[in-house]
Amino acid sequence: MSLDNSPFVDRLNTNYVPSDPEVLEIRALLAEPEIQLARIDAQIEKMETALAQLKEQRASLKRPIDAHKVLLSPIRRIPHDVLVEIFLACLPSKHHALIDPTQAPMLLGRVCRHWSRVAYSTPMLWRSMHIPPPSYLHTPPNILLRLEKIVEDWLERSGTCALALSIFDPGNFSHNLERHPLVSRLLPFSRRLRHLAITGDVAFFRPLLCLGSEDLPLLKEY
Amino acid sequence: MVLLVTSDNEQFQTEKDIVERSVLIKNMLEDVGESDQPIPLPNVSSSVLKKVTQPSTGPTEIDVRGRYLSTASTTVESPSRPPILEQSQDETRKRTTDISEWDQKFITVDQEMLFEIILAANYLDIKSLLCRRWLQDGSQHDQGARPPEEIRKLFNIVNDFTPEEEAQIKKENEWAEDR
Repeated sequence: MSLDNSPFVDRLNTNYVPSDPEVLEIRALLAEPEIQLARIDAQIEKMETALAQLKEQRASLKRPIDAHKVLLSPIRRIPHDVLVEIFLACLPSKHHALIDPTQAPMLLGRVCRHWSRVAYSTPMLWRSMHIPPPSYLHTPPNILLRLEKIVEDWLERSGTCALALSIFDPGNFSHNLERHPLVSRLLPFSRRLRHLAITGDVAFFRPLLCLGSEDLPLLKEY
Repeated sequence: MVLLVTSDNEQFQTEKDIVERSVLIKNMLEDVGESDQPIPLPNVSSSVLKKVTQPSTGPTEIDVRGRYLSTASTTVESPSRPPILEQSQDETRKRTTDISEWDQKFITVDQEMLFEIILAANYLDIKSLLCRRWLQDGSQHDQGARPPEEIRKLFNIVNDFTPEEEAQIKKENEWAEDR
């Protein structure tokens, strides 16, 4: 018997208390629909199992498909010279490049080995640099040494390019030092300096400022 | 108007000021002078040329390097910021600094089209289309560069650094983190 024609329709969703015979009647009424419900539940479970199996099959098929599709990624087919152009376009145009791993050119060396190779072998990417003033009193020595190494590597990567450098240190970060610790790193590259901007205590940068024109043959702007 | 002929033999009548975004075409026009002769573009398909020559709505105030312009202008006294350059470091490689809506549209194209546009931009010598915005995070207000993880995800690049290389990168990053 369908529950659509149930004699208890009017009693549904009320607080009506059925009598004992009515309880028996309701149980008898529910017997068939409950069997149907169990049948449907079994079908759903079967379908869900089948769906889960299909999803698993799909996933195991999709993984290698995606992995292969990655091989077709267009960026991989960009010719070396075009990639270099894009990298160069990533450099800031309004100021010298920053020693900042979240910005080009350093960022470009942190994506994958190929980009890293391209970035590190493109001297033009490293021809400008702004050297910030670390707090020489408060920065741990190992971190300062790391900065010095970064500066040295940066200048090495610039190959034979003319250099544009800016260095800012008002001295208040390093007042007990006789000279800027990074100046000595710059001296070997003086012959490639084309633009040099120094802001800070003259005495602090003396080794750089004492260079003669023979040491700065390319210098155009100071 | 200038008549361009693409690699698939389609002809495009295009306004001169639009095609002159391309240094290649600009130079060709200067060499040839006023002429009705079509300019063949054997390395550019019609679908790509359509993208590349979509009319500009004109340069906007937004600059692809806006982040630098804005930070530099407000923090010129800041010791960690470099001085603003009076001019480009190398005039021969001077780049367009404005990004127009015309350029910005390309951020959303699919990767195949992006690839084609990049190649066409290189061939046509349209520097503004080879710009840093491919690596910029459009979701960020200040248009900062995307982190390496996002760049990898965007371009399907696998992080193939060895653990030693990763360690080296991490070491270098410590300098920036410690500032």
